[in-house]
Amino acid sequence: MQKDLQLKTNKMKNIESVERLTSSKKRFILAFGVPTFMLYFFFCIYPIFSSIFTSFHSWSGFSDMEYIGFENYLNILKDPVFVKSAINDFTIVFFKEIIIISLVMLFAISLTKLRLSRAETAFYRFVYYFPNILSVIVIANVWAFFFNPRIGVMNEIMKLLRLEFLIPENGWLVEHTLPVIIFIASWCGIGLYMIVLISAINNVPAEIYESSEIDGAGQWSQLVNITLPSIWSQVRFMVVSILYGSLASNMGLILPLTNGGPDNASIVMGLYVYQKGINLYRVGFANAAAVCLMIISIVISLSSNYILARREEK
Amino acid sequence: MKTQSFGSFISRSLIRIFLAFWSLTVIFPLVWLVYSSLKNNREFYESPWKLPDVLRLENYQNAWVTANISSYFLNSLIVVFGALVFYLIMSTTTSYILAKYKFRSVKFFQNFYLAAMMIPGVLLLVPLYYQMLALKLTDRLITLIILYAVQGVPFAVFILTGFIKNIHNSFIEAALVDGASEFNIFTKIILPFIKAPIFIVSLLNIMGSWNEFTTALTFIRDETKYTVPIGLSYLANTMQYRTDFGALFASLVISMVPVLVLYAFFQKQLQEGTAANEGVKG
Repeated sequence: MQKDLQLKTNKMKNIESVERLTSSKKRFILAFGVPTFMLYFFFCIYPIFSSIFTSFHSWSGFSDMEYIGFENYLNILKDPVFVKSAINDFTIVFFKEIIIISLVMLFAISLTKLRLSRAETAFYRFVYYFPNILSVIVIANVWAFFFNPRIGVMNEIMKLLRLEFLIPENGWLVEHTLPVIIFIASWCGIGLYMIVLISAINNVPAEIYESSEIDGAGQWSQLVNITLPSIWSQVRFMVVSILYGSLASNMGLILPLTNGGPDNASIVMGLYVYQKGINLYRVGFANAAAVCLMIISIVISLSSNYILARREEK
Repeated sequence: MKTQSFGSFISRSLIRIFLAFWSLTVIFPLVWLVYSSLKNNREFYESPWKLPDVLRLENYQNAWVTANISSYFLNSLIVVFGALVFYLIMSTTTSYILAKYKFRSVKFFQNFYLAAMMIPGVLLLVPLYYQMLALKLTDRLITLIILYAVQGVPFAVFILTGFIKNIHNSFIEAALVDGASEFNIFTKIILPFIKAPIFIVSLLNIMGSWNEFTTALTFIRDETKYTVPIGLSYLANTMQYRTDFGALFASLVISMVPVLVLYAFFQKQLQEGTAANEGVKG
């Protein structure tokens, strides 16, 4: 009896010690948790604060800083190139959303509901996702050469289709810069979002379909009444995530592809920040632009999320 | 077996054709890249379609030796491996602490790493560049190693914390009874339990570090320190003066080999991992 009791209290002590912060746990935190947090803070959080701070200064990165208040911000909003880069960003995002969302819905529904053979589905899953594993530099080069008027195949394809009159004289990337960029950016995004949506569709319980079949619902009405409503919240996620992701990361593709050219035709906000800050040493100015970009992306993403969520409630 | 109406047969076929067409937009440019990498300049200008007359494997030799891809390849391997080691040490230990330790600010740190996932890395480049310049950390591979490791931590912590929380405390209790130290509990109990998610986050980190372009371009200016992506960009830019399409195409193909191998073997894990990443951000 006594032994039993002792065992029990021992056990309780042990349970307690799993939860309690013992000195050896404190040592573990000091050895691993704290350094990780400090490194993360120093390389990923501190730069945000320093960019907000320098955005109110005139600074070349080497000289002394000079406080100038909101002058950088005013100059940015007055700069037609920044306005153009914002317009380009939104144009790219707008068409990207339309292309990615519609194609991804078509593909995801086809691959889950058309009852294709297993091999076919596996093949498309493998191929459509493929662009996601490539580096932007590979993507940029492959497509730049593909559209290249001298050695690329795009013009040859147009000739084959008897569409020579559509061939731009100075090359696709020069005359149709934004449409080409939109195409490539959408091409990169489709596979990932398709995978996300496929798993959302597969999460809908099969019983719902079975019972609706008994009620005499056809495939089309199942699609409209069951599949689409159940993936709507996922689609909403996608819209916001494409929006938020693109505003910051459009520049990742455009930098190696056109570097904003020709003549700022494809400049975007992220690239504007990069060029001013890294190439032209206008650090304070670039940081002010970065803060603007940050504010714009957060505001736009939150408000679009809010609007879409409200619509869902109705 | 239900009989299909004629209309649904047509729409099915149309969708099938479109599916096939879209897969061509992925396959064709890459196949074209691979067979073009075996042509010489004359053949490039003659016809973009044409298959090479003879397989000019010397393009690959030129890429590897003359165009210096071998050196970029080695640098990339160092960065990928170094970043992976740091990344795993930081994210597994932090996840363990956040999942199993009880202290007052634990909730704050959980939320901190969760919120940190939303920070777009490109926005940090300018301030980070001058920070690194002041520390004399530009033109060094260690800079890329640290950045690639650190920037991935929030996502890995998010994934791994969930898995570690699922480990039952009785396993840890049993080890405590046996007098195991914290470090032993971590390595002998926690880590073996979360092998699978560790593998997934590692894959994502490897792919990310191998492919990363903008950060590397910003911090590495010294040609001997180039990683593969900026090496490729350098090659493409120097083409204006010394054209060798074959070698450039061969370099692009070489750069794809490692990720292609990983993708072929671990397609499922990679797709799950990136989908999880996307789900979080949405």
